Amino acid sequence: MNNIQKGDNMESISRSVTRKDHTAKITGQEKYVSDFRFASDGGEILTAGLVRTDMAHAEILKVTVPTLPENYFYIDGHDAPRNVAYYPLNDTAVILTEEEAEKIKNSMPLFADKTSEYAGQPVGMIVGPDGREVRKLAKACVIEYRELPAVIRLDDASETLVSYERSFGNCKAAFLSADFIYDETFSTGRQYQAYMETQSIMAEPERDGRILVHGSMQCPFTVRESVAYSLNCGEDMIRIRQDAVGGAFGAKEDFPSFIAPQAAVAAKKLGKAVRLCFDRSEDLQFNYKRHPSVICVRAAVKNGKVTAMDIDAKLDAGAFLVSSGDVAMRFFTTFPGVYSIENLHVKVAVMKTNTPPNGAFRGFGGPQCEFAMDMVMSHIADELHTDELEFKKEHMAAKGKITSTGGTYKYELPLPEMIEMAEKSTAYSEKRRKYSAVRWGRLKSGIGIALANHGCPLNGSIEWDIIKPKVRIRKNADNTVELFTGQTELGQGVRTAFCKIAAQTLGIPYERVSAFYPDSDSTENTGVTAASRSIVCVGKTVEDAARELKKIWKDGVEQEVTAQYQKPENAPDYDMKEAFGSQYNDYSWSVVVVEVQVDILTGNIKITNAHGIYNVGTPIDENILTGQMEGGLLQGLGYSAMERMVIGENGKMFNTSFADYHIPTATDIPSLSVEFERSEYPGGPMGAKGAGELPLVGVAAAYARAVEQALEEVRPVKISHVPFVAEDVLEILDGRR
Amino acid sequence: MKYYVPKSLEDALTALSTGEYLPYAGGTDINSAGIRDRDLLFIGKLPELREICYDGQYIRIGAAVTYAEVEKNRLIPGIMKTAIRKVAGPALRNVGTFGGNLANGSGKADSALVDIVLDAKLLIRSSGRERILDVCSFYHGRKQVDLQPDELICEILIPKRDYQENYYYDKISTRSSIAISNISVAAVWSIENNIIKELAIGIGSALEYPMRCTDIEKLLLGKSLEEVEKERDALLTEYVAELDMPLDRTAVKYRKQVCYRLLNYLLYEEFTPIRFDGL
Amino acid sequence: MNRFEFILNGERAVYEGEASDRLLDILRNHFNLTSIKCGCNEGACGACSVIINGKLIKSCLVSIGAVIGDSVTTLEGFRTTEKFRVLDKAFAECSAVQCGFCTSGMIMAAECILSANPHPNEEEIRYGLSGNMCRCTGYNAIVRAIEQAAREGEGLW
Repeated sequence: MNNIQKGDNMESISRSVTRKDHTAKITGQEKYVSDFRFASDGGEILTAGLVRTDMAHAEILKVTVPTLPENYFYIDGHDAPRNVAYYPLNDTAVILTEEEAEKIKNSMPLFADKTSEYAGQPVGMIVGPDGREVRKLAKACVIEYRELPAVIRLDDASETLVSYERSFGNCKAAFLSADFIYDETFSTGRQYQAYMETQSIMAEPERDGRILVHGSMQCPFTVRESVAYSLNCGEDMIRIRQDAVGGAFGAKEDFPSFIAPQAAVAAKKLGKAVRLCFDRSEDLQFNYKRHPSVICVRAAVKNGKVTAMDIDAKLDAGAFLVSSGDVAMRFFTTFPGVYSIENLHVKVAVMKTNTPPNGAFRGFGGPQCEFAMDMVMSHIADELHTDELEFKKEHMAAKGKITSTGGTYKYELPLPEMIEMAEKSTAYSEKRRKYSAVRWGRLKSGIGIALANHGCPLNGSIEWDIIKPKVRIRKNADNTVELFTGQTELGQGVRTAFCKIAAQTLGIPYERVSAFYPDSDSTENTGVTAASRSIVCVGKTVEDAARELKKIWKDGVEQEVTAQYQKPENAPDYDMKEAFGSQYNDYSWSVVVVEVQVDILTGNIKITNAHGIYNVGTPIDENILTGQMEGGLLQGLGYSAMERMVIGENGKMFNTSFADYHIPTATDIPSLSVEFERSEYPGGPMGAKGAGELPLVGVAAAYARAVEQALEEVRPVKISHVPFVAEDVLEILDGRR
Repeated sequence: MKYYVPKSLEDALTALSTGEYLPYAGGTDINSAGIRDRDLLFIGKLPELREICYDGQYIRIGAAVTYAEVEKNRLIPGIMKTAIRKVAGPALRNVGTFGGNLANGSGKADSALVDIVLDAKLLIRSSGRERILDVCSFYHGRKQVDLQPDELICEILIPKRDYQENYYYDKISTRSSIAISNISVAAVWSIENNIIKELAIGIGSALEYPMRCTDIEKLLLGKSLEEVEKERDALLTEYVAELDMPLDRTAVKYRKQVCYRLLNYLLYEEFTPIRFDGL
Repeated sequence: MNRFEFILNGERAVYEGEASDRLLDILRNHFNLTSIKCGCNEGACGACSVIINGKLIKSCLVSIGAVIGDSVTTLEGFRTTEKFRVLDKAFAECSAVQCGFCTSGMIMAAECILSANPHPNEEEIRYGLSGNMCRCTGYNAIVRAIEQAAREGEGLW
């Protein structure tokens, strides 16, 4: 299957084009769901506003709704044929019994009726013609409670929703014969995806009795499944369509499955289009965010090498599991990250707290895991008084070495070359030496480097055994071509990439190929737009379909071809239940260098430089891929340095607006750059590999390491948590740590 | 609902005297708070409130002058420009006004801290009455200011003094723009023959409202730089410990730490720049 | 009901409602100018940016009573200009549009940056964009696009 065309083809696929969605977006004509003035049938659109609890844990005794003016309605659990917010269990289902799976499947109500499990849990919805009136009425609802004890902090959590454990090698022996054992605990905070378009969805009754659900979503078919479940009807009764999405980053993978059924229940009951759009404050507080984690690492060190690791980690799922089982699975199977360790034992527990549920965010457990792994290796190197980068090189992955799940790395990994590139582009080692020399002045510099990886697409045989994505290509009589896949354009450029792949393969101009927003009436489910799988898996299928079409191409005639994703060469051989074996088709790799300047007067940390080197195969479009890496790198820096979410003892988010939750602006980190290591991946379309999440995964450790170096002259410190901010610096400088 | 666009300042004050109107200058506070149930008086375009001039004694800034309009004006002291350049972003500086940022009682307004340190006065008028108030006496508590519902701040009067070009201003926040500061410190001073001749220091954002550090000023005025050097640490430690900081976005402990450090830096570094040899 | 007259994209416009009605809502809902987006309701994100009397202003913070007689320009008006064509080409070639939600605000900000300074350096561009948030691009592509527009739009600003 090694039929990659080298030379001319490879260069030209990467050459940047004008994106398919550029013109609509830049002229302001692109319609996001909140832009529609009328329902599809020309009728009015009603606005919905959720009524929420404000107790973290309580029995709901009574909900009193004010007298509603004409044309205003209250919807709650009684109106839902099945008052359940359903989200599929995916990977998690593998380790659960049917009974356990059923229980979790039905555990989160669509509208809370018996208890409030987190402050802000929806109990009902006001629906009416005027948005301001709806919000006023929603606020006027009164809920009576009997308070119950609440668990807010992960450290206090005792209820395990789901847990995983695995091991390979002989940890016991390794720990017994170790020269010394290194112990450290890491923790990471919540992070909000902060897409510019808030969660928004619309449900409309169609003339044929179906409900059309459309809006801002990554996974239309998952949403359809969830809506059908709550409405207790067949999926054929739900039509689903993606509208333009104003940013997602994972947050619109799982959360729409919560609000879409809510809107659909209302639409069905009222026989009118109902639109639910969160305002920023509501979105910030109640959407599903990146999981806080606590990671305890024990490492056995013998003869200057780490021979074993024992990892005991917890994720804070919030009040309900939703997608946390899946996030935890990637988190669980990613330890020990980029490093090959022969003896490994990993335990992960997903804990319940009375806080809003957490969920998917670019990286999906990877950022937390790889922060801890890269930091612990750095700290062990320090203990051994050995060069950190040399130490990491000795342990890092290579072809033939053991993967995090006991498989083998099948391809040459360009990590050594990427480290060389990093040295060339950032002068890392030189600056590391320079910044360690005694320095004058108030501003202390530091530089840090982190290695990371991200396996793709979905693990094991899921892609060709379960999802089996089928791509359809239609050729029109005028020789233009249309692609039909279920992948959603979120800004990441997938529409453009697919069109380029098809055009290149068919040998026709890019302008003649189109791909639109998925609609269940015309598109099949090709799996989630997530997990960095769209190009490497579905894009590969687009390439295959195009190749088929090329073979039978007839000018002036309508033709159609379908292709299904094929099991790749060097396919993963993975036991999902045991979490053992070769887990992924391949991995993508990153080397990130971050430079900081710490003001030891005020504690402020300024990121003066950030550079990422990425091995993600052939860029399908140079500019689009660069934009994705730059955006992800900046999100990773925000995660490390600025985006601190604080939740109060009452279970309420302290950050309720952009004034309180700081994402980077154009002036914060002006010097940010990326470059690519361009080895081709034979299993991807034209050599491309998964890239979407990688840039966020391996940033925090580079930042933390740089801050450690900046402070070492004044007060040496081991940083074990992110975000790490000015307040933390002052704690250290004033000797409180 | 009613609204009124006055034709002159007198007209505005007459309307205000009815007690029915809420003055709207830049309108950012009114809109971000979503206030819809008040009758609005649109004073943002009144020419009497939009001048910047110098009358021989005071630099006079009209209350409806926006932050952006001041950035390039030659009359405005350097410390004010420095403070304003760090405020929010360009679009907000285009609408935020000097008067509005005082009248809203916000303890975090960057220009208000500078007004206090420059000993500014406020020209406040109502129908038939006029008073001049030291800006330091304007604040009574968190969001409580000495301004009646029928009164308008018309001008901010900044006494022009030579030493105002010797200044310090720093704003500490989590982000470089669109960030309300956690703490800000401003100061102006003059030193003659090694003696502190004039000194004004103010702390903003960390407290309920921007305040002058009058205790420190009293202790330091007239002292020599050597004496300042000796007493600095003890003086600041006690002062900061006794500062009453309200609960806010960031911990009190952190704000006090930063406050101590910035004041310490100010007294050590800024007053004696020749002595710079690292911390 | 009160009546408010102003200039919208070069033409006389009339709105009937309350003086406290927000310009953002009026432009989107009454005049159907949906290029203007609501991202935060607090004047932070800049997705609602418009140009009023030549100044970049966040329409979520403006009441209609404050802009009587003023000239309001939105992307729907600006996109017919030669300056827009230059920005369009530059944004396309730099792939400075990803999800597109911040884009209309960024174009308005770009127009104001270049109108004030036809040859800005990078620092000045970033300063001019500091009130417009983007979560997708990391800002580099947008900065590069404005630099390119400044070069290619010689004489327009």
